[in-house]
Amino acid sequence: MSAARPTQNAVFLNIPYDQGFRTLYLAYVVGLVHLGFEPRVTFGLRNETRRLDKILAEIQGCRYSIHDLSRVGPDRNPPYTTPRFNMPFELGLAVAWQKLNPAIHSWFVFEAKTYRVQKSLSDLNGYDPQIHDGRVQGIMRELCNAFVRPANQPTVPEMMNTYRAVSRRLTKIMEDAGAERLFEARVFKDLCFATKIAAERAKQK
Amino acid sequence: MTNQVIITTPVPSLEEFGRSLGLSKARQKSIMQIMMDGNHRSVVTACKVRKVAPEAAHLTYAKHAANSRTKKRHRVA
Repeated sequence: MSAARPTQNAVFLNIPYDQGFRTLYLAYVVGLVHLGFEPRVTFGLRNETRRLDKILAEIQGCRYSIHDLSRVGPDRNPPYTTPRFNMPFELGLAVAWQKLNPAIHSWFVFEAKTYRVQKSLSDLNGYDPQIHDGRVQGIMRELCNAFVRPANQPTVPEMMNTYRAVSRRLTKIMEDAGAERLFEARVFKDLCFATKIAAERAKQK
Repeated sequence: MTNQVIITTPVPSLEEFGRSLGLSKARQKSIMQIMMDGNHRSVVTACKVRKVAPEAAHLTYAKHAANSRTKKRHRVA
């Protein structure tokens, strides 16, 4: 596998895209953009035949990846009730990529509950995941713990203010994009840009 | 694997960020307008927050608008 140079401020976001995860999804997007990153997601790849290749290419193109393993319960959507393996699978891809190229990729595991990952994915024993408690503020706190800027590190309250500013305008952003779902590529880009505007405005105050 | 990294890459400017997202200038302007548009909540969101039935939305919104006008007047006074 050739090691192409990844985008230094790109973060691959491996999280569940479902209605129950809306607020935490928004928290990840807002938190990462506020910290100066460019989050990357896999919305556009839903019906692709070579989806796996594209996911791997996305991981390889990002300097960092975040894998949220908090959704470990069975997914009851028809036709079958099964757990979702996509997130641990993509984490496996990132771990392999990092092992082969330790200088150009770093991965992080986020969880809602302490010690749960030690049971659900015991291969990771010895690694301390970031525990966000399933709360927006927890995501902001853990993002600040994982990514440290020597200068101009935003505080959690600042990030929370930006989150509220974007969250208040979410309906309007979705309306403008003609979107019915939050998890769409266009809404994602608009959210990133809206966050950047809110963060810049907060800095100027 | 460490669970903390030091970030030294510069934070992109708004313009650079918009460009890297591939957003057109028109789209950037439109989002900018949404974000600059005060703290206005859409009626739908306002109803959700205040737990008001959608059919009473126009009443709630009108009342809210009237209240904020009154508050502003008080502040000026």
